[in-house]
Amino acid sequence: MEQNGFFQTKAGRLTIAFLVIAVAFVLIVTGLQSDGNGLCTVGFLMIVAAMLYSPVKVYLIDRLYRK
Amino acid sequence: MDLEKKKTPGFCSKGRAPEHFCKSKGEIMNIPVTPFMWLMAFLPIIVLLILMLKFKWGATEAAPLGLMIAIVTGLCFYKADVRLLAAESAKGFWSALVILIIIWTAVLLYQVGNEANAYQVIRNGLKKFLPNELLLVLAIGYVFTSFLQGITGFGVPDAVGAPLLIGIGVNPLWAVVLPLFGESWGNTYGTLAAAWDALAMSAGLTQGTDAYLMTAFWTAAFIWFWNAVSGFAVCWFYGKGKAIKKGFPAILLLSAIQGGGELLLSQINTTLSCFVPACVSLIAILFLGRTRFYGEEWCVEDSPIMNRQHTEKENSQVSTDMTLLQAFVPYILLSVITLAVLLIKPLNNVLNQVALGLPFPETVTGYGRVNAASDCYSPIRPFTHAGMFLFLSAVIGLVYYRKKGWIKKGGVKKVFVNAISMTMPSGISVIGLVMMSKVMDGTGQTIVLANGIANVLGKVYVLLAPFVGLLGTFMTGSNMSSNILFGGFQSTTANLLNVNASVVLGAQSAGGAVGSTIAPSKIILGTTTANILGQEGEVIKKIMPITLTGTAIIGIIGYLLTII
Repeated sequence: MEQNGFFQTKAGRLTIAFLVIAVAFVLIVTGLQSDGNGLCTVGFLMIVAAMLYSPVKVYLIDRLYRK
Repeated sequence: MDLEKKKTPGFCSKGRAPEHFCKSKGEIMNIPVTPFMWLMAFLPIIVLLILMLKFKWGATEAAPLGLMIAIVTGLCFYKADVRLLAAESAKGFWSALVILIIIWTAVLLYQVGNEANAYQVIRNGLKKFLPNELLLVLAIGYVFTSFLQGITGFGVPDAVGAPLLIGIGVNPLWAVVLPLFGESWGNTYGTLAAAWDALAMSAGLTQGTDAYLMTAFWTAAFIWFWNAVSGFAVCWFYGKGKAIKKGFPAILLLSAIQGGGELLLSQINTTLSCFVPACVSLIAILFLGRTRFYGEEWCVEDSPIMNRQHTEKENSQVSTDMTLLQAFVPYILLSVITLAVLLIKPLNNVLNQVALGLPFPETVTGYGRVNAASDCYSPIRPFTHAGMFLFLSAVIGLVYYRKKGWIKKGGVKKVFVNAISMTMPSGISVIGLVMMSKVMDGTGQTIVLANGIANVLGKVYVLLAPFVGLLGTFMTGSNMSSNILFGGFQSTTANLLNVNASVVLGAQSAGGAVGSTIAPSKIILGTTTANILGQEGEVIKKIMPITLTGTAIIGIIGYLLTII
């Protein structure tokens, strides 16, 4: 119950973003070692998505929601 | 590619000109240094600054946008492919982890003290020792933070100093600003001279040579100037002219010990040249509190940085039998553990053997910018890492306070939950900033930025040498990284322009130390523990005028020294 509460807060959602970046990091490192460009691309896109979560949420989604 | 080149990417050989200068002027590898390319490389930084300063965005939101611009620029204009960008992003995440571990453990240490009400005890205890409020602010914001910078660095003084200052009644925003000034002078020779060693390595300076000692001298001389400026800045913020007048003798003495001591020791032992003066100044300020001039209660009633109502309110909540020494237990532990591990050579050698690093393959841009392969990229040595010292101090402190009953049942869980909640937002921004600097460096944007400035300005470039150091620290959050990034470039530029390289390198590292005051990834540490995350732009605004003026003066002195 308490865990659900935490992941609904900003800190909790950023924790999820951090975990996504960590998984993407593993994918990229694996891809670089095995010459797997697909893994590198997937990992890179995951990083871009996770990094953009906060600005998109604060300056786009929240503003649209308020309007 | 030979081994030497692999170890020091960008260098023809150690101590000689960086590889990019082996090519014709106006072209780095094959990257055209045109105004357009320079502007595109500058865009991520300028957008980051505008979003934070003008639009008051927090670093958690601004850093990802800076990163995205650096990525798009790399992809569209610097001929980088997705594989290179992915590799640089992964390197950025790995390098950010080193900083994040420090943030997490520093916040954990803070939460332990907070849960046990240790900060109120420290505040009340220091007040008894130092009845002069200005001296009290200087003791925590200028001297204690220097002491922490001398041993741990990596932003720990900012994370730890802010809550201590809030504890004595300083407004949270100013509680973030003051430690940034206080610890900045220790950035080059602090953390047992890690940033200085990086400068010597990247500029090819051999220990004990004339060039090494002269560069150490000019670096320390510039830093001494900044150390004095920082002390007076703290006084100015506290109470303008009235405080400058009252604090003048104290700053003269403390700056002579810190800056002068560092200058002297830089010619004897660079490793201890910050730590020893920082310790001596800690003792000196307690003695100052016993003198007639500072021994009585004194304060500036309308100080713009103080919120005494908050202090009085907090005072009424303190009901503990904890002594001042007991309140400092985690910090005493931190100092003892750090010094033992770093100074006892056999112990250090054993613990240093464990290193975690990852292999990265070589990547090349379409312009021929090569990022060398590495078998063990930026290894983390967990047992000699500042994060380990902080973690051990926090855990032992937690057990100690729990045993004494100062942390109640359920408090231990609260400490860990609060620490995680407090650090996650800053974690994302640190990752964004470090990734941005890696992408810029790996795609060739950083070197185009620096070369563009040098090519256009000629000898006048010396005026801007400290600003290059400042830019490096602003981008990476580390004086050490700035020196690694630009040390070789500054040395080669000085040689090409036929000016004194020691002065230019001194200006580079001093500029890097000054730049730590406005580095977003450092400021975030303070805003996190001060609980004002998102106000990084406001902090930079308060600091920027003094920082830019100080850097400009270092540049002017450097320029005059090179033309005389």
